[in-house]
Amino acid sequence: MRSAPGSRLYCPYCYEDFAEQEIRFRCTGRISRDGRHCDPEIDEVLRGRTGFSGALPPVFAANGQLTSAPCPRCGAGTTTRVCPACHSQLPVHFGKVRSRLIVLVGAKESGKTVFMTVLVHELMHQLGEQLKAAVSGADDSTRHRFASEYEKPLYRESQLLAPTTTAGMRNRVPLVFRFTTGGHGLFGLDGWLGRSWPGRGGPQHTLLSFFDPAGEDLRSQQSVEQNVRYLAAADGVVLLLDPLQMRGARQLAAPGSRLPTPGTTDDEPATVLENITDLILATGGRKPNELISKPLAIVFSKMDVLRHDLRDTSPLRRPAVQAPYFDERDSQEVHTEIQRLLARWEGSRIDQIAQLHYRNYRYFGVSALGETPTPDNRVSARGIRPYRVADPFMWTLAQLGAIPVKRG
Amino acid sequence: MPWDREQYRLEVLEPARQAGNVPPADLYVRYGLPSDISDPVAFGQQVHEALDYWRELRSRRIYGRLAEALIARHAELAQDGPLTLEKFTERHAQARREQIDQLARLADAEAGAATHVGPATVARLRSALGRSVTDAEVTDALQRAGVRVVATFPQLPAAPHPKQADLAEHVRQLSKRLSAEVVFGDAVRHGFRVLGGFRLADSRRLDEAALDQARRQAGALPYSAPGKATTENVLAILRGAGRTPGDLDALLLSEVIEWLRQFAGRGFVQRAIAGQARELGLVEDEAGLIAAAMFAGGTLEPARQQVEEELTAGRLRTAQRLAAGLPADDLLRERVTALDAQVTVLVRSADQDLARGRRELAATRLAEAARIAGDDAGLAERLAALPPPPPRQASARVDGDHVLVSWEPSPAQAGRVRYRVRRGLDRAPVSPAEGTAVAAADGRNDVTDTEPPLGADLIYSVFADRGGEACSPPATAQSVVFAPDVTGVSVTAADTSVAVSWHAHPGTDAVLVVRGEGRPPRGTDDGTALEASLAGLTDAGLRTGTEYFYWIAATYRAPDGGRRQSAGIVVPAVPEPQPEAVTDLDAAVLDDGMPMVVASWTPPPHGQVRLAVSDERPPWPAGTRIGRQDAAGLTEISAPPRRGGDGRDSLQLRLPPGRHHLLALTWGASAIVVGNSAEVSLVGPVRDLSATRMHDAVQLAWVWPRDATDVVIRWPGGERRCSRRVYDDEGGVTITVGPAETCIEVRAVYPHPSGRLTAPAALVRVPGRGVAVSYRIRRAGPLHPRQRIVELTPERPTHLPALVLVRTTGPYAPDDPAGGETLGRIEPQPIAPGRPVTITVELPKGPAWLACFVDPDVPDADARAFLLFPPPAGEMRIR
Repeated sequence: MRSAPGSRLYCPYCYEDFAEQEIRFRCTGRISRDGRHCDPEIDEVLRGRTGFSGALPPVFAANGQLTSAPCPRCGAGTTTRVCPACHSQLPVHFGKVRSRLIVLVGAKESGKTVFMTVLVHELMHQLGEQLKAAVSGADDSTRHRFASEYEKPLYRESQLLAPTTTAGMRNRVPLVFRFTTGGHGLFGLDGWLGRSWPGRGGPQHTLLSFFDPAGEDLRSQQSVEQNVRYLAAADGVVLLLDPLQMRGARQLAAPGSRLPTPGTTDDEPATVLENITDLILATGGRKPNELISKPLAIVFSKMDVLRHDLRDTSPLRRPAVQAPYFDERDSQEVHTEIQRLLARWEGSRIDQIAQLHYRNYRYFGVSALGETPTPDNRVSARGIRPYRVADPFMWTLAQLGAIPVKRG
Repeated sequence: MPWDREQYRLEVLEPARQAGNVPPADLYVRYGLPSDISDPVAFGQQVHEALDYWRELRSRRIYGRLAEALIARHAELAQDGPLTLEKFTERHAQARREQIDQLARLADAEAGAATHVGPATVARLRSALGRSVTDAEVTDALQRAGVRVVATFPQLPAAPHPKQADLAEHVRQLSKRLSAEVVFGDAVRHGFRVLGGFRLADSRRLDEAALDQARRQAGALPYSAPGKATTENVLAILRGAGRTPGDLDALLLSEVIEWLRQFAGRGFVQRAIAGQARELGLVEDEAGLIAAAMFAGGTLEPARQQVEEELTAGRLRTAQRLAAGLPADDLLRERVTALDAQVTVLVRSADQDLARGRRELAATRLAEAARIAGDDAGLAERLAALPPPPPRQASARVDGDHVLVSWEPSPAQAGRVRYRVRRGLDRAPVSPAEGTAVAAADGRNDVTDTEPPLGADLIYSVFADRGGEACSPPATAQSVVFAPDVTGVSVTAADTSVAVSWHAHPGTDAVLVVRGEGRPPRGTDDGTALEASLAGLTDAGLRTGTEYFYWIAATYRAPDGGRRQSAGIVVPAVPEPQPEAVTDLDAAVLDDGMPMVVASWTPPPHGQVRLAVSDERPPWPAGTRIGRQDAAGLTEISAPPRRGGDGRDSLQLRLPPGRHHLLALTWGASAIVVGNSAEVSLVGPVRDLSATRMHDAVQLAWVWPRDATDVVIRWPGGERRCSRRVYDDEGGVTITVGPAETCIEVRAVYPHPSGRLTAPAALVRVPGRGVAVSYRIRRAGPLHPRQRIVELTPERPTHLPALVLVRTTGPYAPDDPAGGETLGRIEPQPIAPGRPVTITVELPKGPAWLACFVDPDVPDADARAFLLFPPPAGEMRIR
């Protein structure tokens, strides 16, 4: 991922950083003009990083700034570029287009996997249409995994997704999506706040990498530090918190709602925010007294079970704005509303932590499913009806200067 | 000074009892004699005192067995004449030599299992020798055997360090055992210490400098190096622990302990674990100390747990072996000893019962002993050797093509009783060695003889046993002749004939058939005998409509050459024309709000037509003849059809929503013919319709009925069609209805060959919302910095209720009027768009929040008629 032209890149699969010229190539395995070819072999680097154990043509070093290179063994040309650290195939245009890394983190049972699945599904359907954008998997694995392991169970079989396993599993590869809009700036509008970069007139691509760590990984500083690399590489962080893990909110849940297992102190949203903050601080690059400038979207999930308790004038009781831009005023109203609710939910400590450490944070209230799941872990028979799931994503992109903002 | 019996009981008898009721080997201790006794009179008195005490204890439950043993040993000592002090001293010296030899053997055995031991082991050895040796003697014996005796063990952490599991995972991925190897490499195997802080044999410590150096080395590795990321993770965890004083050493100690605990948990002895510790690189003394400390403290717990598990599973003998490793005073060990005693008593009582002829009581006691010590093969064998009482009321009967033998169970009160069934020809087997075995029935009280000889007199005997060879006398069933009837009888009637077919047993000699008219024949002479093959017959020249009965019996040749005949069966038949299948069943749906199905068909010339309905397509093609049992599985419609002017019959049906299959069946007196079927689809409404108001919009949700593809949504002033795909992919439906109360109807739409079918409407009513009134807060002007003007604007003309302006100094805007100080009040008044209501308030100094609320005194109903929308937070915040 490129944070600015000329700077170091972050692999969207392993999050290691490297310079563009360090990008490597993978031979196509086809017969070259002079009749030679490379046999597929097990790529130990790829297997070590991702668990993929199939045989592939070999990887070789060349000038990664070029889009193609001849294989030194067989002479056949290839355009398959791979990460020098993990050997994952890099998306088309990687390093050549502006890319954003958005990391989704959250506590155990906060609904990260469901949230991500619903968000991507929405981007592929209604939201994509609304934003005049197209979202697709950036590689075969993402396309296949998202369709078969995420979208199909949730949307076609109405089955809630199994809890994510712990990050110790080496073959948990992030899902990487390409977010494409028409030319003349994202969303076809002039909204780049004066910024410009090559290719502005043609289609614009943004790579989104979703790393979905297990909730258990974020309960304590000890397990979180394994994921510090992902946070260090992130351009924006979306932190999903379960308000029902807060005592004050839990008792307000609508009768019949499915409540999460009461957690320990480590599961409390404020503790999770503290841990994330410690990690971001540990990534370095700032003075001791400097606030964190990385945008942090603090998202409260499962708002459907608390909806009945909201005031009639609450912004969380009106439809989300459906427009091809980010509506700052609507977002500010939601932010203020959540601030007010935090006091009611006995969660003011969250606001104190956020104020003391972050220059740029925003609260959101969302519901991925729209209704509490059934006791047998299924989506309600009335289907999935997401509410405001795109708000944190839109805000993060807006903070990164990637979409236009409507103020006032 | 009088002898202190209580002290003697505590110091001598109790340890002896705990050691398994073994009298102390030291005679001075056994008789409670002072070691320096020299007065023969005092000696004689004390011996008598002790003997009297033992006799008293014989009737006590706790010490009875020990007292018996002490008295028996005393009798042995007294065999060669009266017990004198001189003889006693000589025997004592000899016993002492034997004890020292035994101590040396025990110490050698201990050395085979341990390198280091503590006070508990010393006490255990002393206890094993009846406390006749001193601690110093035991310590000396152990040291001579090569075992180091220590007074205390190092304190080991009770639980793993919080980071140990993560660290171990990474270290394993690097094919190493300790994280220190990641930092120092093979130097760790050459020796290190971990008690009192980690340090290598060459005195290097694992500190920040060592970690930095390792990190630099890892950083220099190429990305392609397989262990690069894992190595960095290990170093990151160590660095993290290093930030807290002492935490890194605790983590490194925990790594060693948890590595060794896996061996302790699997039952390895201390010496083996010390060996594992040395293999890690731990210096020898620390390896032994740590391994011993693991056994001295909480690590005995796995052994205890295993003993508990064995006892629960009824494996006393295994538990005894495991418990030998527990301290002598361990309560669990005492429990094992008590259970052993209980088993011994049960076995002894069983012997006595057997001697008195009470076999079942003896079996009960042995079964109880075997329940406690299931792993004692001798107990199981003894129980199996007791024959149980015989089973009762055995009987045998022919059941189809086999013989069923059944019996009442044996009244045996203990053991797992098995039954053996033997078949005899003409005479009953009197032992399991006679006759032919019929498959033994385990856990059942009946058995099927699948290969009985045809036509013979069969006598079955049933024997019971407890798993051994010893078995009960037989229970014998009445004799039975195996002569089965024909099976699979099928009757096909025509106008003037009847065809009957069947399956005869392969050993059938002939089949006899007798026909009766109007009633069943009573035997071979009652009716008309017919000629039949082994497979069936055809009876022609009959009268149409008359009911006939056919008596059918099979005959067999017995082994003695005689004939045996089956009981016989009777089947009825009425000659009649064959029923004909319906070929033009038709079904149509009339939808006038309450869908109705109209089925019609041309009635066939013969047979009565009945309709059946099912959710699945019928499995039979038209024209298939089916049996009554097939028809019994269908849901028949009992209503009679109506004959139309066109000669067709029709029937009106109300069926639940969904897809149905109607089937026409033509019934004859002895046959049913399947006609064609017709499919009908009835449409059901959407279910569980819900509506959530979101200001002027309403989010709708419902459960889709199966097969519906679309819905039509209608509300006053609007209509919308929504496909199921759009509903699923776009997350429900949201419509804009405005502020008023609204009734919304949703109708499911189904595809149908004749066009779409629309289901009845599902209705939901959405309450109206209050009038929206927004307010803004602005400064009065530069000359009045503390003044604010609050301006209210409604969405439509209305009557404003009383409002209050509230100021608060908390961190957030006030949530209700009681949350702060009231600065101003707006009286009830009309308000309309373009004619806003304003109020100017003077604010006290200092940062605060300002907000507007409906006056709390306004009745709830009036207050709910308004939605008061606040301005952006920036306007409410007063700086």
